[in-house]
Amino acid sequence: MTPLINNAVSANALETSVMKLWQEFLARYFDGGKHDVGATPLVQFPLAELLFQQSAAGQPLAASGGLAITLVSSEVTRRKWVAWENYSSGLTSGLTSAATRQEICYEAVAWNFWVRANGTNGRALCKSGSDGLFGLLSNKGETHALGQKGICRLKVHAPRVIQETDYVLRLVSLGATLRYPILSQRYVDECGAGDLDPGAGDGGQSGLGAGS
Amino acid sequence: MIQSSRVTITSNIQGVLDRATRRSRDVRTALTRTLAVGEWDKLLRAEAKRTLWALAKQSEWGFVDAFVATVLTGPFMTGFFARMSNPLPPVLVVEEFAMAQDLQKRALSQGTGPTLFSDFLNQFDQMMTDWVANEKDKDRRDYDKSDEEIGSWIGYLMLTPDSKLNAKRSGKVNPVTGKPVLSELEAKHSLMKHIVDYIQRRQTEKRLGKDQINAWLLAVLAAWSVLVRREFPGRFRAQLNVVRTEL
Repeated sequence: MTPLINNAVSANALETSVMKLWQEFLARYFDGGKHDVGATPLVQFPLAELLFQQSAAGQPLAASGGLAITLVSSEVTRRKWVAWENYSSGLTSGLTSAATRQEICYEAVAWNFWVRANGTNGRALCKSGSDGLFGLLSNKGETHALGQKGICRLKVHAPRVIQETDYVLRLVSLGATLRYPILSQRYVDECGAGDLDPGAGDGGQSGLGAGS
Repeated sequence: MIQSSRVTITSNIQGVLDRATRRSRDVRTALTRTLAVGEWDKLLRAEAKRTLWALAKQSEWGFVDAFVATVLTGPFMTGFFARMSNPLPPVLVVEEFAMAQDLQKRALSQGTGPTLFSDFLNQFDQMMTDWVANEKDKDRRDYDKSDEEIGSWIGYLMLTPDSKLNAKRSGKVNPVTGKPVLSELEAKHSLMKHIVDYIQRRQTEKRLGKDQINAWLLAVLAAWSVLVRREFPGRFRAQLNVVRTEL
């Protein structure tokens, strides 16, 4: 598993940061090559164009007989909860080592991945695309990279065949939890994490939901 | 010295039954509230829109709202139903026009009548009505007829074999042009080029393919199914909590 380069999920750019992480993660695999996903031999992934929400510009479905995977947020009620946690943010300005308590927001979300293909080989292409996607999202070792950036607790459902004619369409649905720090809700203590009290100190406002 | 002993055994079964009855009532109330169609309607429309926006190419975005506008929800037994349908009228192509003529010819020769392909004929009549409404140069002879009547008459002319049409003129004079009124056969051949041109133009207009329409409808259905399964447990639990805290 190679860590992702893009920034972690952020409250400042919730949708953008999430979509960038998905773009980076999926693009690593759906490039038409073989990848080590903990299986022997290496697993072949098809080349796919990755699309997000209504990114229709040049939506290719595949005039050229290609594969497209479109990620769409589902219209579910986004359940949220918060918790104070030790936060390993490293150094803070002027301090060599600071233990930080941070209020973290958890948010349950759902996405639909629409896998589409057409052309003479469309059915096989769509099948390999949706199978590859399902296998990848079920793979805890590979999706750990997403978890490190705040997209965690993935719960993927097996691909559903929507249509298998010249226009082949499958659906892979996914539930997940986003984890991101609530801005301004941070408590820094120079003494050490063991002494921290989230309810005390300047930054230690303990009110749940503030800033979320 | 013990004179007597007595053991009393009682049961709280009535209390248990009462509580079970209360729970059962709570569950029914919570279910009814969870399945109230109002909130689901908004949710399902939004999901349909998101799904179609994502599946449509830029040139097809104009169709999305028309599809979403057909979403219909309502109560169904103890729950609700939701449906979305294809808002686009069927378009006949030139090959189908020829097929309609062939079917009509066969029906007339076999005496089977038009019932076997009445839907097809209705579509054709509808297209003729559209042509009359949009393109026909109407004159004073048309003023006392509806577009449907004129469309139906032209449809009859177009689909009836030449041998079955009257080739003789009535001898009447067209009050607009002052020329003799054409016979049925002459009227057919005079109109034919306009009708074929109209069908060809409609055919080349930007339309959605049948496969694509099917895919859109099925995709929204699948998205709804996933959404309801995902949403229902949480909503039901929330309603149950509300019911239990009510006096």
